[in-house]
Amino acid sequence: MKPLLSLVGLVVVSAQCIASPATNFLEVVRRYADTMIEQGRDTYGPQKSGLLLSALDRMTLRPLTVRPAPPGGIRRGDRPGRAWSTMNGANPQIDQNLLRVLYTLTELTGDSRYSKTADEELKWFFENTMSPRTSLLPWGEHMSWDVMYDQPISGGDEMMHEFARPWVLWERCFAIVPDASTKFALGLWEHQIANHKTGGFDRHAPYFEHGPVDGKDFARHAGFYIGTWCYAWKHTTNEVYLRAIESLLGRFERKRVQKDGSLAATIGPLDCEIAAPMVPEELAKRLREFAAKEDELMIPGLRKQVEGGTNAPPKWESGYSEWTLASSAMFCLGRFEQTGRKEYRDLLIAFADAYRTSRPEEDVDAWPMTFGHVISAQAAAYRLTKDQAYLDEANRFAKMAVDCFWQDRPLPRASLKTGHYEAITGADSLALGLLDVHAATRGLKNPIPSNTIDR
Amino acid sequence: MKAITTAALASFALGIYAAEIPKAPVPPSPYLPIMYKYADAMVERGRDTKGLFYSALDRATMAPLTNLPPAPSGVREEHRVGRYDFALVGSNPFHDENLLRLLYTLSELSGKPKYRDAADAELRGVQYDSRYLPDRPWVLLDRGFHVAPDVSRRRAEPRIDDFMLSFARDGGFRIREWAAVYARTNNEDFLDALDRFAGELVARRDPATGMIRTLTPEISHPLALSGLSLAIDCDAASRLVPDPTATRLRSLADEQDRMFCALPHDLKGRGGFITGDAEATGANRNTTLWTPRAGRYRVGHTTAQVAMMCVSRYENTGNIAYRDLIHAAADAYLKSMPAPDDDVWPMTFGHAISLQVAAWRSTAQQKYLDRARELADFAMKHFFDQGPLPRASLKSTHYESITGADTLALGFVELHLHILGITAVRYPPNTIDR
Repeated sequence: MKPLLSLVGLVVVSAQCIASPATNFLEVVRRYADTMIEQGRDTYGPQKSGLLLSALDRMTLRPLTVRPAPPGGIRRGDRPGRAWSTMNGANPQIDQNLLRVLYTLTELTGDSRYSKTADEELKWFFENTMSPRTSLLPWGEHMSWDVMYDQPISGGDEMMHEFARPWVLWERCFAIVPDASTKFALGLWEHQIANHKTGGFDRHAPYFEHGPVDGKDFARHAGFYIGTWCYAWKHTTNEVYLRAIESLLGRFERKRVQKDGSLAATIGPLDCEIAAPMVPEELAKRLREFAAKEDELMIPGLRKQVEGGTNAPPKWESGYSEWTLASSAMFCLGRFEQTGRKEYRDLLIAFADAYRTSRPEEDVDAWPMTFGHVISAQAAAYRLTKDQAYLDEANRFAKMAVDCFWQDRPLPRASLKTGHYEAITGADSLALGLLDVHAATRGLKNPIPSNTIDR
Repeated sequence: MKAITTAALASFALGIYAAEIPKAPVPPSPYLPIMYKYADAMVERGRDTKGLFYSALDRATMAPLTNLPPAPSGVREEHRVGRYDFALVGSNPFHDENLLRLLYTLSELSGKPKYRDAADAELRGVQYDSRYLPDRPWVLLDRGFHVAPDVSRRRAEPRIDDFMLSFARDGGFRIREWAAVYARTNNEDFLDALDRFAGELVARRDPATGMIRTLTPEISHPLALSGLSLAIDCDAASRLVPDPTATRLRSLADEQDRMFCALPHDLKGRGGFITGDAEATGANRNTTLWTPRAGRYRVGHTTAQVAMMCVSRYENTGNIAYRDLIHAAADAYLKSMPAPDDDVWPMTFGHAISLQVAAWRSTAQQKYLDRARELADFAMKHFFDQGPLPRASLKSTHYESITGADTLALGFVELHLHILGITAVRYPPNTIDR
């Protein structure tokens, strides 16, 4: 009871989502993590897996007994639970930033139970939920692990493996579950890629049986696969992974050329740049050149977004395939961190400026993820410019987010119009944003993971 | 070794149990087809030659009325469309505002442009009567600017009598419009008007209660509800204008929030919100669940109607005082139904349904979604009992939109989208009946 009361003491709820200046963001995040560790893990069904549940009843801190109202923009089939039924799934891919938060909390607090919980999640999930036929995992955009039935489940009608985000925890996975990580990487090549020659793939690959269909690819997913295989190569030196990277890279080198001869951005540069240092020089060079060309093709569009062009994404309203200006800011941050290019620095700052004094538009069902990105954009702009105004804005948004999403509970709600906890809308990205502000405000040197994986 | 054994067991489990998880059926939702029929009927047969929607119709013939049917309980004759000594024929876009919002939503859901086109035609053709004081803010100004910018701008232009608006609620409506026009045009006249009027409202604030006094104290007015409505509009406006105006508006909204939430609303015992200043009126007046108390100048509020204002404040601020009020109000409707003699409006059912859905969103408790269905089933049976148009009230036989057939329609759509978990199309918030 005492910890809960102390949180309530921290979070002063006002009529306009503006908290007391005393809000301690590290404590808010820590309480979130503590609650998930103590009450949000799988102790249900025959197998007590310890997996973190991706949705919970915020009032009882227990598994949901219903399928709650969806946050705005979230599709039926993407939620962590069986179709039309109770929502009791664990999906490490949509909890990925929470796992990164747990590792970071151990670094910030010295308490090892946070990283231990994250390690246990990775270990159990990789060793126990993998499809025996395809070696794919029940995670990502449509699948999760039902903690009551101890089974892989889908939010929709079909059991399809599709990445929801890039997986950036491969280094840790290869350290603690090397065999399972290798198997997954191979399964991804064998069962997600329909045509190994052309690199044609199916972003939706059947989980139980082989069956990808050529020509159902989304370019960004190629980046997620390349970002997997580079680690598999690094840790196994099995050349199949180099062939896999080459196959998909070649596909998009061809696909970026349009019918009229013009060029269009495809995979994006981030995952190619991640992969480059891990692979042999010839392929690395190709990846870097590909990434640089993607920059050239993407930067004009980003400039138009900043200028408020007609195709500019909204500031606050998120949804399936609906990015916000703040998510573009996070892309710029990610690329600036990789390359140091001034264009990306300037764009990031311009995006941060676009949010100055902003609040969600009336009646928008804003997500915690969007707040997380806005906060991280302001914090990054502060780091780059040392202009206190950005840090002040980061603090203002962080306080607003704590009041609006955490309210009087230890877990944040899924959106401004819903009341339950559901990780799919990026509570974990918001937590990363809060750690960003905490570190920036206190001048901490501890690295906070980049809030750049929601893409 | 243990890991391998566990993995083997899990693999075994994947094969054995996959077929045993019970599948839940797709939940039924009969509500949207009723709304399409209503919209189709209005688009095809409920418009005049200029494309304006009739705000009253004969439900049997689907033609304009040739007589003046008795007013639904609580409706004042002078608020009805047309000439009250003649037939009930006329068009009032404020009475049909939620119908227009319904039409835009149906175009998004169906992909058919005809609904949107019909709504746009109304926005183009409408002649606003500047003397008319509506019970709703005009929230379609953005769309109006898209399809008929001159009409929209003229409608919103500040007038001398705006600054003499007696009630905070009506002032809030104008503040909302001016902010929307300013956001579109950067015309400082609108910002100046907004600043000036906000200042006047602040000056009229009672330091003891926080309520904003009327300019006509002889008229009984629900000051607390008026302040709550003002908070909604000031907060909305503050998101569209620069500082220091934005901060000023937010402060005004904050104060009205504090005023309203501090009142001793007894939803559990009396099922109602306090509507005004107890000291001024001599007693706390409370809203009622189904049939609002009629005042001398306007009909009162129902509990669900005020609760929907609380929904607006809660979902835009996260203020948990409003959350608690919403849950308590939803609880008050869990068991209650109108008495047989109650001449209930469709609007009230629309609010009651949307309130239950809001409580469902907030609590994830099934009882609220179940109750929303029960209320919708009752409304479907009793209002849509004859043809595609709903009756004006439980005791009326004709169609007349002043009693909120369109608000009921929004409640149906909101419920349908929640039952089926559809979020690609957003439901219009059912919060404009103030």
